[in-house]
Amino acid sequence: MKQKLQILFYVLTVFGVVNMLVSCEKEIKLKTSAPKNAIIVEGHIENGMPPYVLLTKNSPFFGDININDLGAYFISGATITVITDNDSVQLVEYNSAFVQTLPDSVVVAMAAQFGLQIDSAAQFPEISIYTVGLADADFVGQVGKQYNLRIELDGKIITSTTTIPTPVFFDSLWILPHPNPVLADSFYQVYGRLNDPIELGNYYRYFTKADNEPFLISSQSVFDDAFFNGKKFQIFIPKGHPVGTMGSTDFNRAGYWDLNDSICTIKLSMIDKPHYDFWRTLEANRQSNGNPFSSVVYVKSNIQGALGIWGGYGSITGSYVRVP
Amino acid sequence: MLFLCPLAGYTQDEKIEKFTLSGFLKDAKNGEVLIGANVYVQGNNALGATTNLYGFYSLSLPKGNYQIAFSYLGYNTKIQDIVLEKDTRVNLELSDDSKTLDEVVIVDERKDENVKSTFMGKEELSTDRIKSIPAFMGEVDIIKAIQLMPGVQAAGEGNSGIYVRGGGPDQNLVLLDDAIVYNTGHLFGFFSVFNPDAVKNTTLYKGTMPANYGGRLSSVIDIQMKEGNNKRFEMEGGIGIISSRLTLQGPFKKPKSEKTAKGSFLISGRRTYAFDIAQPFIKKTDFAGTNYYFYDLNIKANYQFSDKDRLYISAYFGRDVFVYNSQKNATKVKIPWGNATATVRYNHLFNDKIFMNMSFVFNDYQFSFTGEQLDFGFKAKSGVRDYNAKVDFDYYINTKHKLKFGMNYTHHRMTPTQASARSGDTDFESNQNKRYSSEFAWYIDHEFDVNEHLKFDFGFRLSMFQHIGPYKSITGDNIIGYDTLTYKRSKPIKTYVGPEPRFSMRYAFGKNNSIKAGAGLNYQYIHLVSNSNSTLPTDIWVQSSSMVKPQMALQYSLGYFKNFKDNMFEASIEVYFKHLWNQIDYSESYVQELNVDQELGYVYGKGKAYGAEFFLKKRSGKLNGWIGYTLSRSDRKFPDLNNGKVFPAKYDRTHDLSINLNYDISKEWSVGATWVYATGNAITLPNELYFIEFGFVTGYGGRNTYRVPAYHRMDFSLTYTPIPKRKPNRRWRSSYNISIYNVYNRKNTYFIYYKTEGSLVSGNLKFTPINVSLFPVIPSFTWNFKF
Repeated sequence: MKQKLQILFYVLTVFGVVNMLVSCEKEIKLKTSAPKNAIIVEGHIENGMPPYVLLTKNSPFFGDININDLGAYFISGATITVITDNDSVQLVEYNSAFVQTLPDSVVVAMAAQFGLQIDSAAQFPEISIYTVGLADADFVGQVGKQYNLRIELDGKIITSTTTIPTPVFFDSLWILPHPNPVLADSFYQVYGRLNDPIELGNYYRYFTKADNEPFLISSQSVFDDAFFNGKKFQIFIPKGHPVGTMGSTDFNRAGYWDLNDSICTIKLSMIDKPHYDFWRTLEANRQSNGNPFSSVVYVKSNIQGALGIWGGYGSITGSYVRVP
Repeated sequence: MLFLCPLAGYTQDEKIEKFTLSGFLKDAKNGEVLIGANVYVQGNNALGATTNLYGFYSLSLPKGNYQIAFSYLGYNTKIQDIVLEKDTRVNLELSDDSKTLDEVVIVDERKDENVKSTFMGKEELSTDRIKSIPAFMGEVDIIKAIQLMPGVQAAGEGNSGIYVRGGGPDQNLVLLDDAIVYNTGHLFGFFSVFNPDAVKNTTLYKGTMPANYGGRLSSVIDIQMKEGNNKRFEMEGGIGIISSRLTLQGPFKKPKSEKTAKGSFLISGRRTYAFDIAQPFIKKTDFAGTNYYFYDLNIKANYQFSDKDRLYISAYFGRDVFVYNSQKNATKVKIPWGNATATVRYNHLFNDKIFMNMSFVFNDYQFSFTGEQLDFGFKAKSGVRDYNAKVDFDYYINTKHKLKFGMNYTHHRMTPTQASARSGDTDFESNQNKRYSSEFAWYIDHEFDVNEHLKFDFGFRLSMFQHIGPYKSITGDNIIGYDTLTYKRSKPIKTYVGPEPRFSMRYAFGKNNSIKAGAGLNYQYIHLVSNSNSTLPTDIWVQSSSMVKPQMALQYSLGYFKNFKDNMFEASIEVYFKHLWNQIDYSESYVQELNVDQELGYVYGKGKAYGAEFFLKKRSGKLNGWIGYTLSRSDRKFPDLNNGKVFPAKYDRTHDLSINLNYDISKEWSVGATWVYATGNAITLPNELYFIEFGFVTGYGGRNTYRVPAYHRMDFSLTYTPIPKRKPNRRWRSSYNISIYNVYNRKNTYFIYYKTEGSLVSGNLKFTPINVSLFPVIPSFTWNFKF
């Protein structure tokens, strides 16, 4: 993970040097063909947690539209069922009006599932989240099980399948000062020691949380064990960035923890291959923007009948409490 | 055995008593052999021969008295009276300076090679002519000169990569003295690796290839290094804004009087120094030690043991080196990459009709990366290494029939990215194995001059490729389990055989007109799949295997050639059609990963390329140069790309125009100008977006459906070569060149990206498309000297 980041960094540096010397940028107008309408599924199920699903629409990239109209992307009125070998549950749609009837703590936790940080139900944005009704609160993900997703929307059937693999966690977590002495007064870095299971084909996604923030992801949030199968090794754990942002482009800042962060909580999730492929291609899609040395990357979905992801997480959470 | 059938027709000619005139043609100035020079009977152009790559010719004629002309482009033709009553050897030197000639008559050269040869799509470029073309940043570049030919497209702004007739950058066979050069670019391809001072001659084949070439689909660029002056010691060099060059050459032992020595050598080097000069400034910063440079070293030596035996040894070594240091971040990175080649060639004349060349070639391309930060370290390397042995025969049966045949064996070793890392006290190593393979080829090529109108060239090449051990194949996944198969050293794993028929013909008529046609099938067993527009140092060549099938191309071409105004002008129109099979690309969701076999990310499809090329060249006079225009199309169809629909290849250019003119104002001053125009590159642009985790994801419209604005640019050069007035024979000569790249400062699109600001959650997400152009008007100055 860190290696890849570094290679990318150096290649970009070289390219940047050449670029700075001579290149010239100019704003242009682009006309591209209108896309076909598509439905995007963003759903997950984690061990000990109920399933969560967002349903959204796509939008033209350039055109006379307000791409910031958050509410306009969300689809309501879908019938969503999550089915496992011996059980099934129909999800309930929670929108900004409905959540006002719920306790603040429930709504804050629900928003945090998607990385949104709010303090009360009143701050819940113009979105719809599908999850279990209060009566089905005992329907939670279990390690080793397969979960099928079925969505009915305007006569269309959308399906997918995922699994919750057995989780593993770091043997230990520790911190080190920022490698640049000048910045050591403001930032620090977190490391963990991971013991990868002996069999090949483990896929990881990690989340970080500083104090009371929601769990957040980095721009490279997944890795696999093709390079270090069965080994015990230390790994740099970059701090995630707020949802919807690309994170800092400053090499001295990106991934480093702030000196004000006193509890560093890490969630390490084991995911299956299709789930891993989705995030891996999605992160490459975000990085390949116009780079003349790479080509476009299409995101690999595991959904039939729509785009997006239905992913199971086998997670373990642990914290490092920093004593100032 | 179609290619041998016409041999039956010559038996009756053999009843007449014939003798052979043969020998070597050399340059009177420095003793270098002349490649492609003509030897023919005065008054009967059809009775002639051409010198091969080693300057050898052989011409069988009925007993009699002849006036034989020996001619070479830009040199004075020599006419000799020959009484042919036994096999006769005539070794001659031709000169481009009339003063040194005394006993021979000076007449016009034979200039109709364009019309008379059978091969189409063949261009020969002498380095002297290339040097008159305006050069980017003053760096004379052989590959960039080839880009100005019709049917050849530049890979990108300032880039020395080429696409030939709608084919990819890996489909060009680039040979330097018989050694394959796998990566032809320095500094991300902005400069090619060929030092012009060390290069004698460059030949491009873009149509049907002669059967002695193979292994690539689109073209052959055959570059011959200079042999070294074998008359006197010579020093040549130059200082430019990017690099400096120095070449030393001379005989091993100074020959007596005007004779040539038995052996000679050449050493030529080139190195950049911009960052070296900046070192005192960099030293004071956090980045002390950061540097970038490239260099090339060419060495060649030859020795003539007897009139019949000659040995050549040549070598090339070049590297790009990038070093990045940052003390603040405790980071050190070093990235060297480059090619090394070595060739040993032995020429032997069995008799006046059979010439043999035997070559042993080694070539190696390596890329490596070493990075360190505190207790984290990372190393990666990749590359290709070949050992090659080949033997080629030229058999000059008589004036009507010539046979070429030979065989070739190459052992390849491909190293995919092998990475190792150290994190604290743990070491990691990737387990991607090296791949080994054997490539064989046998060929025969028969040139048949039926009469002065009709000429055929029948060729057949049989190629064979074997993926061999040692190799460990791992199949399966963590659900069904893994299966490992181990192959021992040299054990065949997968074999491909490729029959490659080649055919060319010419029909000459009227005064200097001809029609030519050609067809050929080619196989390519090693591939380079690149996401970028041209070759990059990190590119990894991949060999054919059980999964990766050989690429194939079948090309047909037809052309009309005409010379006029006493051969002052050459004109041609060529049309071609190419079918391409087993073309390779990355899958739409491909993301490069360490330790994962690249071939797992490949998808396969077919392609079509067709076009018309128009070429007009003025060969002589104060004003000379050419205009080349190509109208073409190149499509691909992959079941797994673009929803299975046809899409334009990255190499598709509808219009491509190049004009290159040179004007000699006086003996001391000359000016040159180049103008190029090409349809913009086909690129894929985003047309939709959606959100995952409130961050945007890009969706794309049709593949390569957007065209960037057309590319055009003009370059200009002015060269001043003073002739010393007091001592006109002084050996020390200087030449000054000013080149201006992109004279009218055209802002050509290098790439397009969209600038992203804000986020959806904060309600201020914004995209702005940005056009990035690379090189503005760039003047440069070069001083060249010769002693």
